[in-house]
Amino acid sequence: MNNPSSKFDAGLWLSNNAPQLGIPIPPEQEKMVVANLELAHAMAEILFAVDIEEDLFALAPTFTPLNT
Amino acid sequence: MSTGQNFSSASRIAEQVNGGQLSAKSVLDLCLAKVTQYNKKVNAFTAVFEQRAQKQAKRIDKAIAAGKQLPLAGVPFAVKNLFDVHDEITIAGSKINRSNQPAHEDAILITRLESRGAILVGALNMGEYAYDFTGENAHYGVCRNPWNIEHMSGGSSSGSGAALAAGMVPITLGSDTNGSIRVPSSLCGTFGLKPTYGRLPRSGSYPFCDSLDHLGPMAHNVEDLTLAYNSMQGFDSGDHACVNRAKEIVSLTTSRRQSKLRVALAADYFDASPFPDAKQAIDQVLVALRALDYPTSSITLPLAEAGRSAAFIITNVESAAFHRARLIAQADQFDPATRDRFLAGCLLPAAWYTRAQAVRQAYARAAQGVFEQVDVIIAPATPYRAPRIGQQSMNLAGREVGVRANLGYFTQPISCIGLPVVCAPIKLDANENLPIGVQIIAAPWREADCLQIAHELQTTGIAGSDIAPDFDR
Repeated sequence: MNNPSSKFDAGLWLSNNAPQLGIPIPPEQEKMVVANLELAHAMAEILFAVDIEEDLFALAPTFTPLNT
Repeated sequence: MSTGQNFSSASRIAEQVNGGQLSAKSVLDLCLAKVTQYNKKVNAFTAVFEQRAQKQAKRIDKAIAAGKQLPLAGVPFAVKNLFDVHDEITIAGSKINRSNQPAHEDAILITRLESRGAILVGALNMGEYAYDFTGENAHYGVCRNPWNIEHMSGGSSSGSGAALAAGMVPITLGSDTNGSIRVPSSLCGTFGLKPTYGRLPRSGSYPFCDSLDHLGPMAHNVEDLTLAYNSMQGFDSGDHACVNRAKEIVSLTTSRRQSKLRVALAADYFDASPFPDAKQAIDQVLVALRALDYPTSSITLPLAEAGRSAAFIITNVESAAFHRARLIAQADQFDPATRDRFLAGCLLPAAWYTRAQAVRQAYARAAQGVFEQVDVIIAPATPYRAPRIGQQSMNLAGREVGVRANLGYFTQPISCIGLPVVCAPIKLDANENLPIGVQIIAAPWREADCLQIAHELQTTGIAGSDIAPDFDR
């Protein structure tokens, strides 16, 4: 299982990256944003646990309706 | 108010207007009176377009007098306030958009319904920028569930469900990115159709998450749902995701089982056992379908849980990218409940997003294999009936989780890969309780199969949508 995101620290990620990316987050909002990052991380953990074929990463990351 | 005329059937209104028993104007006047009276209770409408509607009613009455017949003659309808309406500002449930310019033309789906005789009467409440499953909006107030106004209508097409359940209009339009048609359909007890991704053009609607956004109709019965859907079909180059296919007009059959649709209950991720009301609804549907001699089985939709995770990440990233400039300049103007999720979305690693899209494709391929074995899949729509307004958490598989993010637990994996689905309200008990629905899901482009099964369930009386008891039935 390839799971590079397993050491994700939402609080650290926010404090490191929000200023780098120019996203202003007042201290009083940090707690809720961190909670949402943790939720997203839990979803990412599920995604990285899926064994999928490498050819799917050769595709642009967009969705094409099936049977078109 | 008891008028003797209710809005539970658009088809019946059109028949009477076409037949000259009713004028479009008289239907519209009654509709406007209902909206004035009932909106105070449920807060479903955020705008009423009386002048515009009166002009359209006049046009319809003139056309009928000249011998024309229109499939939606005189049928009032309303749209979620993310649809463009000419000369109106498309607020999309937000405060920020109030400073935008008014729309220079109608959304194409409004144009198509009105060209068939329908009358747009207003715009409907919704969760801010469609990022919501509850119907709670910090700027325009809570949209209340007509079955019990202390309970949520569901979202984000909250007004679209509540306006129907309160009998204010017979047809509404909503949008569905992760369940925003199906959740309010389930909680308000209406039928709702989320078509295949790429089927109905989104031209002239305010986006939430481009690669997941769908538009669709909601109604009190399958005939009206089908009528609205058929009226809105057709390619439009104004939506880059709209697929250029011929219209596939759905014709509902009244005789039993014209084709041998193979029906399966979705198992594993979709197991409804922990949710007694959802389970009861599913069980009733299966019993009814078996009684109608449908071959039924049980299937697993592989990667459904991962599909839900993919939808979560994709929604968060794409919507945050769209709102980035507003989040930087006007963060204090957002509903805090949506703002903090958008802000998180601005910070997610690219690897999560690309992984989510790759998993989504793998899941779509796996689902294609499932549809070689079955035609229609039955799954719960919501884990519970409508929670109380303000309820923050709910139990999901033994864990306390947030209501706002999890009411779409069963709907998210389906829209993730763009499958067509009808949410059908199931008649579980006395007609006074809060409703609950089930999802009827088919392979891409097979909306007809979803509608046919919903119609069979409606014919047997298992599925059905009523106007709520405290309103004008």
